[in-house]
Amino acid sequence: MLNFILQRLLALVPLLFIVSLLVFSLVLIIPGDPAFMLAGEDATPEEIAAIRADMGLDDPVLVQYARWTGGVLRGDLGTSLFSDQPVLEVLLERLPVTISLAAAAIVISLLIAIPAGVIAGTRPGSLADRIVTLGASSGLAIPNFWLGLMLILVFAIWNGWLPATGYVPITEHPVAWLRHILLPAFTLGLSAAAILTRQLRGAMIEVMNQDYIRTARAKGLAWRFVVLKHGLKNAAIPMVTILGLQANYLLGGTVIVEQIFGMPGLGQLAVASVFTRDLPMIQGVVVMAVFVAVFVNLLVDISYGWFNPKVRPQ
Amino acid sequence: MAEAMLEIADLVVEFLTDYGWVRVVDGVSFSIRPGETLGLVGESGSGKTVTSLSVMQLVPSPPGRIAGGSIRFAGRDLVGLPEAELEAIRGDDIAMVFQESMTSLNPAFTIGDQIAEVVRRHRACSRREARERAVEVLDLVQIPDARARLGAFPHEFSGGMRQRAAIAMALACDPKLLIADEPTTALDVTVQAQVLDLLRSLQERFGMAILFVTHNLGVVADLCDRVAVMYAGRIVETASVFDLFESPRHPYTEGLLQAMPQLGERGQRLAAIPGTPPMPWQMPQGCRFHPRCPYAETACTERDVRLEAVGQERHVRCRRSGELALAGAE
Repeated sequence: MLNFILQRLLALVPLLFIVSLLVFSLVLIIPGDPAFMLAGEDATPEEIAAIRADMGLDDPVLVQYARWTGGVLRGDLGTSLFSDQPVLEVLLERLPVTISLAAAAIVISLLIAIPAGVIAGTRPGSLADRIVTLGASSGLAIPNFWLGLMLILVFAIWNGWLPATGYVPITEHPVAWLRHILLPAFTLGLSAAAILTRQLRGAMIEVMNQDYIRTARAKGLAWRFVVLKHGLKNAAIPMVTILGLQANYLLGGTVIVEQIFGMPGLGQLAVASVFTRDLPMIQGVVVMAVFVAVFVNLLVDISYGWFNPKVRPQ
Repeated sequence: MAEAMLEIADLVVEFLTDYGWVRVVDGVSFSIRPGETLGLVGESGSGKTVTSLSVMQLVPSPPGRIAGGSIRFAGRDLVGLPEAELEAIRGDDIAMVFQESMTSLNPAFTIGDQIAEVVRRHRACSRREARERAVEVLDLVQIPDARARLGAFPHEFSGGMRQRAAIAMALACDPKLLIADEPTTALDVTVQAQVLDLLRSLQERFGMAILFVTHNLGVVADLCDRVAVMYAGRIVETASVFDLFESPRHPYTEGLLQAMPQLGERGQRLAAIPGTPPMPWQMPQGCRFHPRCPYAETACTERDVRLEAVGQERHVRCRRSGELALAGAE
C-alpha cells in the first residue's frame, strides 16, 4: 500500500509541472500590467519602470518562471500586491474555511445520498423510489445561488434559527461552527447529493441482482444486513468515483457559496484577488486548489482498494 | 422406510411475464429422506432451479411467486413461513451451493469473512471461534493451507477452489439438507470429478441429504440414489438411479440417456432429442413432451397425463409407459 501511494505521488510530478506552467502563464495571459496597477494612476513612466525592474518583470520569461517555481518549491508564493502579506500566510488562514465547507457539504450529501439511494435502489419502481428519483431530479435542477438565498430567507431572516453569514472556526466554538456551516454546506452539497443518490440507486439495483446477494440470503442473513453489508460495499465502488469528481466540483462551488454566505474562504479570496488584479494571490489560490484536488484524488484512489479488492496493488 | 426429511407436494411456481402469470413449476412433488441424494434432472428451463430455490423460499419476488403446494421440511411447511423463521433455517438446516462460483461469492469480502459470517449468524460464538470453524471447513474441503487462505479474496482462487470454498460455506453449520444447483457445471472436467468426490465423501462422513440439481445424467449416475426427471415444469419420471438407467419408463428419460456421450462408440452420432422444450406460456395440450416424442399418438395430444405410480418408488407420466420397451443406458 505504501508503495502504491509512493507511486501515485511520483506520478504527480509531471502533472504538477504542467500545472505550474499554466499557473505561471496567468501572468502573461491576464491583461493589464501589475506594475502599472501597483504604481497607481499618477505614476510617471520612470516610476513604473522602476517597479517593473524591482518585481523582475523585465527579466526573460524563463527566468521569471524559474524564480517563481523555485519560490513555490520553497513554500514562498510571493507577496500580495494588495495587502503586502505573504500569499501563503493568507492562504493558510483561509484554507480551513473552504475545507470545512467542502467537507461538511460532502458529509451532508452522503447523509442524504446513502439512505435515499439504498431505499430507492432496493425497491425499484416503488413509491419510495419514485419520490427519491423526483427529489434527485429537483436537487439537480435547483441552482445553488438561488437555493442559498432561499435558505437564508427561511432559516435566517424569517425564523432566525441559523446565522445568515459569517464563519467561526471549529477550534474556537464547535457549535457555532456547525450553526454557521449548516446552510452553506447544504447549499453546496445538494446537487452532489442528487448526483450521488442517482448513482447509488443505479448501482444498488444492479448489485442486488447479483448471485452473491442470493448466496448471502441463502446463508440466512437478514435482508437489511444483506443490503447494508453485501450490497452497499459493492454498490459504493462507482459512487466513490463520482464522489472524487464531485469533491473537485464542490471546491469550485465554494467560490459562489462563500460569496453568498460571506465566508472568508479561498473562494471569496479568489474573487477579491481577481477584482484587485492581485496576481501572486490568484496564482497562490490556483496552486492551493490544485494541491487540494490532487490530494482528494489520491484519497479516492486509495479507497478504491478497500472497496474493490481486485484493484488492490499486489 | 425412514420418514421423509423434505417433502414437496404439488408445488406451483409462477412468474409474471409479458404473457401474464405463467407456471414454470407445475405441480411438482417429490421427497428426500435423511442421508439420501436425489438428482433433479432436466434441460435448461425445465424448472429445476426454480424448484430448488423454492425450497429455500428464495424465488425472486417479484416477478416470481409460489402459487400453490407445500414444502415440508422436518414436518414444517416452509411455504408462507415468516421471513425470520426462514432465515433461521437457511444456511443452518438447509444450505445451498450455486452454479457460478465466480459470481456467487462476494468479491468485496474475504473467503474467511464470508464463511465466518454464516457461522456467527447461526451459532452463538465469538469472532475467533467462527474463524476457527472457517479454517476447519476449508480444511474439510481440502483447501491447502486453509488458515492462510482465510484472508484471500474470491478472485485470488481458481474456479475449483472457489467452488470448494462455497461448499465449505454451505457445510459450516452442519446442514441436514444440502441443495446443490449445478455445482460442477462451470468447472473443468477433472475439477468436476474432484468436487463430486468431495461431495460424496462429505456425505458419507456427515450423512446429510442432498438435492442435486443438474442436467448431466453422468453426474447423477455417479452420485445420486434416486432421480426425478423434470420436463417443462413437471416431473415426468422418478426412480432409483439403477432402475432409471437400466429401464427408463418415460420417452424423455430415454432421450436423455441416449444423448449421453458414451465411451467406445466413436463415430456414432449422439442421439439428440429433436426440437426444443416449450416456453412456459405456450405449453402444448395433452402430454407436454408429445411434440418431441417419437412414440406420441393422437391420444397423447388430447388429455393431460397424470404422474402414476409404477411399482416400488417409481412414478412415470406417460400413457404408453406400460406398452413401450425403452432403451436404457449401455
